[in-house]
Amino acid sequence: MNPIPDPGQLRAELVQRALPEFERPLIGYATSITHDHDAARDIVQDTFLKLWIHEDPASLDGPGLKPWLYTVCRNRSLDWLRRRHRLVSLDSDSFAQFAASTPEPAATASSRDDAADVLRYFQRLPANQAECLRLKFQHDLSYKEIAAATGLTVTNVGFLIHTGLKRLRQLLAPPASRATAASPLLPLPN
Amino acid sequence: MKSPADHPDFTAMAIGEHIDGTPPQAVLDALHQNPAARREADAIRSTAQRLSAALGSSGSHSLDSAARLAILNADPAAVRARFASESSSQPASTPANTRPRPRHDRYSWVVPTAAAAAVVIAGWFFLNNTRIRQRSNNPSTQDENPEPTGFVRATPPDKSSPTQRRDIPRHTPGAVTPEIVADPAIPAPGSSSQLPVMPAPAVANDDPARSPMPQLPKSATPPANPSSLFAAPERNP
Repeated sequence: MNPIPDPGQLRAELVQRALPEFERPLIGYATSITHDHDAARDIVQDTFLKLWIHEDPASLDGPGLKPWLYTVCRNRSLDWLRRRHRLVSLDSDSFAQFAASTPEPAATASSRDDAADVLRYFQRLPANQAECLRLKFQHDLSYKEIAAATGLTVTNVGFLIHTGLKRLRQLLAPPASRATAASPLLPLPN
Repeated sequence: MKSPADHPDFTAMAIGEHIDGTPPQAVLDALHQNPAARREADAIRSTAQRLSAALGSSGSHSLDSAARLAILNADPAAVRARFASESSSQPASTPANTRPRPRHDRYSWVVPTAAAAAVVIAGWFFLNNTRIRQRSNNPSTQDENPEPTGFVRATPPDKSSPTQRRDIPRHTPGAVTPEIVADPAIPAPGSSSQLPVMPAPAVANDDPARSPMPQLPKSATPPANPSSLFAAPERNP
């Protein structure tokens, strides 16, 4: 007979397990929304503190913990934005500084240029597409987890990621192929 | 027509995902059999890898040690109290009665006022229509007051004032038209006789009282020196 785990003890275990694993990704995600590192740290701290007062910690003991943390982090980031009456500005400095923070000391100049190009075009995407792409390719959330974190349906998430990747491919394509791809039905010159 | 590669299911399968439900058969066939679709899937995968590398797998920023300790050693009761107070706190420091009302509340009087006006107008039309219907159904009432209701005259006509009412004879069927008696002084139309010549008025300027100018005696001959007329009268010694 399995003893029923104490909720308080389960919460403590969840917090101890989640903190080292999701601390940095959550700060990155909150920074991508707020564009403020200090505010992102406060938001992530509140996110983990919310874990202490969760009603049913057993439901988070598994794959549900990650989307729950991202959901709380996203909601608190949006709350912070509303409180500050700030619009989400695509300030390239703070955004690029954080987003391109991959520790790659041996990266070549070409790969850095490529990453800068990708980030520059990534900033041109609509906010909902960029958020889904970020959650997918930066935070490695599945379509279902993205849907749970953002409140969208899985089909909607799939459409946003498909559209965002397609647009990014068009922007990253060389100019010549971009021109032919943009106008495939143009009549050939005589 | 969209190609199978344009389908979100195709992108999802290319990056190793799966959307709920069965993907369309055309997408599966294209992915497994069509070389062009496979190249398309490779291109999607390549773009996803470039994006993942550019974004980075995770952030480099972390919490400081004090925050981490505060999280690990948090008291659930204190945390609960903190979030409860946060959710119930008012953002404005001003009291509630002096806080400016939101925009939607500021114009809340418009709808009830418009509704009340609509009710009054509808009631007025209903009452008038009811009275008209009653009169049309009851001819005795109609005889008593032939003037139709619903049209209110602002001021009653003043029969004594000629400017208010003009006595223009109206042609009513059955009425006797008065005979027109011909005036013998006026020739009939079409007659060749001349118009009567009116006698010229006798203009007499011989009344001294009517003329302010000094008059000459009629019988006397005019004086040789006209200035003697204006000479001063002689004084009696």
